[in-house]
Amino acid sequence: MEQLTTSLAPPRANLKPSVTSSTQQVAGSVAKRLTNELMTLMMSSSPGISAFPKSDGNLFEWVGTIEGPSETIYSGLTFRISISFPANYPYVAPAIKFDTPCFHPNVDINSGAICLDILQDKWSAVYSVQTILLSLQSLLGEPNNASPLNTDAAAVWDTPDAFRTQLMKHYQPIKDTA
Amino acid sequence: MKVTVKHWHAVAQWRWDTGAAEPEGGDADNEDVCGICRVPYEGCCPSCKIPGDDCPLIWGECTHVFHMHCLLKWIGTPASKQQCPMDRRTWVTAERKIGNS
Amino acid sequence: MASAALRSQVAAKWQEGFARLNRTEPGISGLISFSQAWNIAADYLHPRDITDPLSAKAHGTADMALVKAAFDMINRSRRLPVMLETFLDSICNQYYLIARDIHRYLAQYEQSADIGVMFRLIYRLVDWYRAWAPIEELGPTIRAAYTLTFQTQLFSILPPGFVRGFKALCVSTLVPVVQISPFIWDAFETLGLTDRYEGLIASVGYERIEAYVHETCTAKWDEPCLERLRHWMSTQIVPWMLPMYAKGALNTEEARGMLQNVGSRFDFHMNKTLCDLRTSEIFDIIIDFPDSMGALYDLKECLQRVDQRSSLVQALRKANRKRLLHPGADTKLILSQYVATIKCLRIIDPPGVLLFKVADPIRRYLRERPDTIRSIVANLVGDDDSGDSLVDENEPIQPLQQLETEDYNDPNWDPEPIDAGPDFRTNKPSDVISTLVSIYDSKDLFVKELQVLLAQRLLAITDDNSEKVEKERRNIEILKIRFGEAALQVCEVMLKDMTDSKRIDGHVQSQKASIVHPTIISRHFWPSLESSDIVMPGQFQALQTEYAKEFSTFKPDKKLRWLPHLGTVHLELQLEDRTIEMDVPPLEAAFIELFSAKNVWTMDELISGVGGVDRVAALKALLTWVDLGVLKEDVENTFRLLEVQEEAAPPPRSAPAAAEEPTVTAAQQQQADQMRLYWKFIEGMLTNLGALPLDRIQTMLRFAPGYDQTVEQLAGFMEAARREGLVVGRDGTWKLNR
Repeated sequence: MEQLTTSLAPPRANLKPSVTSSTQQVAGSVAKRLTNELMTLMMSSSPGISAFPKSDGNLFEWVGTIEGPSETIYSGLTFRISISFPANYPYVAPAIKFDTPCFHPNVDINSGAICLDILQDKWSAVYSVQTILLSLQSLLGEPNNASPLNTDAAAVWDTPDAFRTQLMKHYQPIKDTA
Repeated sequence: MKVTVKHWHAVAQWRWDTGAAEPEGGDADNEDVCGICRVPYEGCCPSCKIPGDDCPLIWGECTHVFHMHCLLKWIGTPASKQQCPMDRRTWVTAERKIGNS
Repeated sequence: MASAALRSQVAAKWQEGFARLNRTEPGISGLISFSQAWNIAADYLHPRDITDPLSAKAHGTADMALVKAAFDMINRSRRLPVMLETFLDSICNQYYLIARDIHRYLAQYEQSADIGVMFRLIYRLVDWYRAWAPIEELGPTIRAAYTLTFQTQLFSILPPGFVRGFKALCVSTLVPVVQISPFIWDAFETLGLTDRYEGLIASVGYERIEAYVHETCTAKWDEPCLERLRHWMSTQIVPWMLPMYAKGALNTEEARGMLQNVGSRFDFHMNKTLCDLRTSEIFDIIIDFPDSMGALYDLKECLQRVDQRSSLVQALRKANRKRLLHPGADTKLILSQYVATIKCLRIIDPPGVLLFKVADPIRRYLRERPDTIRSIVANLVGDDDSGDSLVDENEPIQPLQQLETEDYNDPNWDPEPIDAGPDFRTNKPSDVISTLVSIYDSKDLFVKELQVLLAQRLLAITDDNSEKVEKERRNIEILKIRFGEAALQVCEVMLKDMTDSKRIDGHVQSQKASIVHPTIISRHFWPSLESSDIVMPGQFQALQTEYAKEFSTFKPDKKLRWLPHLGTVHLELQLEDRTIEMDVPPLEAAFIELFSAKNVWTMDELISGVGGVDRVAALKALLTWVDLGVLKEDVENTFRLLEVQEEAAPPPRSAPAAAEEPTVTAAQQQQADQMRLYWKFIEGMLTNLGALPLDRIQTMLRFAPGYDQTVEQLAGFMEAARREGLVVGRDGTWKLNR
């Protein structure tokens, strides 16, 4: 059915700027699954997590948004992440990183790289964007200090005031511009 | 009065007998989907076009059910470690109902 | 008080005048002979009353030698200009003679309406003109001055009645009532009438052309008329124009050159007249298509000559509004006129600008009609009862042509025509189906509706009728070519379900014969069928259970879930005095089955007896039996089985007015829920991508399944969301209101 949805012909005024969409050639079954996931994600109301494709031409690159869970040190902060799906998704995990600098024991403060088992060796084909976003959200409150990517963060985790200072030093609020 | 039915053109849907309890109340929307492709069991996996016997289900001893094609593809990846994607126990196909028709 | 100087000046002047008149003759003899000459000349020139025979005669017998000598003397005395002035004055003074004549003729004409009178008047005027003309020897200047004065006087006294008569006379030169001398044009010319009344004479030509076009072309659309009209112009109008517009031409070549300009005006007028006529007839021409091809070819040619495209568009749009796009018109009729419009305008204007302008309002209108898609789809699958097919059977089956962006690398690319509006879509000649489908911005709706229709038709096939299934299969094969294989994959599964059902039934029957013959369908591949809570009572349930058991034996990994409200039951009722055999829907069958246990049931008992069904549907089903005289509603909502037939009483109540219960949810009904879904997507993209401009939201919404709103509709939707405080819009971009 994805062929149907991509063949929508909007009025001409819109056709011109979006020429890319007609050349949108995506591997059918993966696109199908991603469309399905997007639909599920949109219809479910999981508080504080969301994601959407970056552009209408490419279903394989998404932007995600995670709100820090309340009653954690990240409460009130919002983080952007980018999600990049491989062509053999869901048999292989998507590549995920933080775009908003995130001071966290399992996140590299410079590259945004994340150390989370389900994104590496514990990946399963039944996981989805939604499960990943939920895992990341809970990772914020419950870091795995045993294998830190950011040793500084791991070191100050137990002193919340110091941690919060560092966190806020790096944090950059999301600007609401396209 | 005696009512005799001479001929009845009825309409029915087929369902996979997954062993799960039939949710009463007709077409419940939260029906079972294959965890890998997210398509309902009675639909077909992304690589098939015709549902049913051409795109059968596979049962694990762990009781998890998938489209056979989806599961075999998963098992074929190194990441799977031959485990059920649901519970990560080693996959053992239940001897139950494959190719029995 | 005259001074000496002044006096001498006057004297000198006088002397000079005298000398000129007296010349060198002795005494005043020169002056006397000048006076004689003046009198002779003046007498000769004096405009005579030609109605007076004496006066005319005197003039005719004048001694020309004497007259010439007299003029010669006046000329030598340089008094000719004065003589001319006197002459012209006398013309004016004498003109009452001509006026009298004119009035006499016109009175006669008005009384008799005899064109011959006008004819004689013209020649009479020529007679006056000739009679009063000065002799040739006086030279062209005097002649010209005379002619001018004569004509000026003439025009000043011609009463309005003359113009009418003159026009009638001109008309008669074109359509001779009586044979008119061709020299009449010379007479017109002599009197200056051709120049004076040039516009009037041309209008005679124009009116003749209009009359002829209307008379010979109105409602004659099968053959092109232009060629015939041109021939008529060249044999009837051009010869008429010759004496007026090509006077003095020495040969045909020269005449042609002189006629070129005016001829082109007449030809233009002919084209315009035909164009106006066809424009006024266009709606009916389209109705008549393809028997009106001739008219269309004419119109195409006329439009190239006459710039009337916009009035054609206006006329057709107006006619469409008035005659087509109103609630009384049948959708099928609108569609067939729409298709005919497409075909016709494509003949008139291949680039499709006119078509776009005319078709757009029809498309908008059709889009708002709920049954449009269904009508088109019924036509696509060649519904037997649809009568005339919109689609030409000879039209090659080809894939739907999508409206594409312009490809400037296309060697065949042409710039859009100059009158194309900003919304104009290059409408490359495409097939009718594509154009019909393009009424909607997406073909999704069609595919959905196609499924619904196919489902209805397949489920209606009660017997083992593989021929009908095959027919549907052929239809789907054809539609696949149009819509693409993938779009119709679902239909493929539906058809396969039909053949599988038959095969499975064959097997089940061979194991254990049953009177149940189900169509077993694959869920997700059939349009959403309305669910039902009906539980079939008594023997029906037993039949279902038995069949389902046998099915699961055959297919151990599958089970059956009945859709009890669908299908048909063939029943036989054995009553005390009669046996009734008939086909009924399952609900009717369920109710009558209940009556085999006891004879009287209330409505509520019946409804709970079949597991629950809405009252309207229940009443409708029960009334089927009441109408058949099997049940009787003694008290309202209490039904009794009539074991013995009773006198047919008038039906106690008519069937409830509720609409036929639709078994299949129409695709458009599902549309309603979609907006809620779209909002979720908009919320999702604004959360992750920040503020977005409207057109970006529109393109991103293609991720929402089945999104088919126009950008205008989206704008309205965003506006509504803003009013609800969900979003904020600024400078054309939208963001969530947090």
